[in-house]
Amino acid sequence: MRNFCLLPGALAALSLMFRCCLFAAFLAVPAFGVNESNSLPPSFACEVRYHFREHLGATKSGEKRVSAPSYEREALPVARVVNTVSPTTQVVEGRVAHLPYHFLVKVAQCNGSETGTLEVNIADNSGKSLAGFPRVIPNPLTKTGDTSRNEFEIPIDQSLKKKIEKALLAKGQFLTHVDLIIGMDEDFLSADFPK
Amino acid sequence: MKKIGTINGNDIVERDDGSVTFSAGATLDGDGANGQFGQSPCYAPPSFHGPTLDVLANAGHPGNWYGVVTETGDEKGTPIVQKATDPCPGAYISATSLHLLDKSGHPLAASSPFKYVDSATVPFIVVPPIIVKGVAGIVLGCHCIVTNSRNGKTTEAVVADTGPRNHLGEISVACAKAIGVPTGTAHPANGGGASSSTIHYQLFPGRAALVHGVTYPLQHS
Repeated sequence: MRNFCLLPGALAALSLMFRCCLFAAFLAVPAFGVNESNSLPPSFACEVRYHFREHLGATKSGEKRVSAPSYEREALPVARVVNTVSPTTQVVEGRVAHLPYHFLVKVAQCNGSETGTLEVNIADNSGKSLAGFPRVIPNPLTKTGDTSRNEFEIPIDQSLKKKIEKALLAKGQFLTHVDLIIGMDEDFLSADFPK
Repeated sequence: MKKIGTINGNDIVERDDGSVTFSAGATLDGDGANGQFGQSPCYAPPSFHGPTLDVLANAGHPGNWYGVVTETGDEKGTPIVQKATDPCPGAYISATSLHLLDKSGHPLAASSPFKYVDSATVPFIVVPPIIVKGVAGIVLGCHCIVTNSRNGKTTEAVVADTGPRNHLGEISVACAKAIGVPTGTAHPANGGGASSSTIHYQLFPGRAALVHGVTYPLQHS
């Protein structure tokens, strides 16, 4: 009799669970749909590279007098999502310690099948864009392969060059150029930076 | 085992067998690429039609050409431009510290594009002076093995160039491609590289490199 009385309760609980599952499935289907149509552009990172060479000191006649090129690096802040509806956009915005410039990099993706755009602007302290910026191009970046990085040369005058050399480089080293590197590959996204 | 030095937190160790090992990132060096084997040169004047491995700013500017071979042999000279009979007409000639020899084993002229090791096609590495001067065996021209721990890819290479004293880990564009290190899009040597210390280097000073069937000369410095 006791068991008989429990049966309707158990059936009701099972029925409730079944309806909850159906409801959850109902919610999940459109959620997946939204994620696919509004998929985020792949994450990216930006760094400034200060390229330099070094005088190799006493060399014999015919020997190479300067080192191979190398660079110091400074990272820009990590990318953040600014748009949750199409076109989804990720933005890197900020400054680095050794340049008096403000950086704004946007990667927008219209939908999963389109390339989207890469927008780069570098402005001085007055807000005026540097020569050649802003630049908007079809996004050439991919997660892997030879197209996972893109470079943008940053104009540097003699006075700024001297300041950077004094602040960043060792004796005998000289700055050759500065550029902004935007990358999407795993190595670039997980790069170590000197503290 | 003997520690030769530490650069950016990475120890350079000379093992009991004489080999030298260290782990570091990988900056890319396009120097030495002069189109010797049909690939892009490292540097060329703006009038040159075709891609280059590096941006011209890394070679210098009028009055101060530090990255290419000049007619006078110093920075103030005019860069030598390759002629129609050279492998890459119109391009400049960039140099490596390691100098190759002619078929008879004699030194090539400084103006020969073949005197230098081609970054575009030859896997090579660059080492700081502390390694060149700090071990018993000859380093320039010696054999080495480069491994990318991120993907397990490895390649044999030659030590062909000298880098700044405070930087460790630099490879040719061909070496980067062989071990799966990303290269730049517009200029492969400029935008590429491995930033984390994921590349393992093992050098064998005193043992002439044999890479792709070519034996490289050991060179005192």
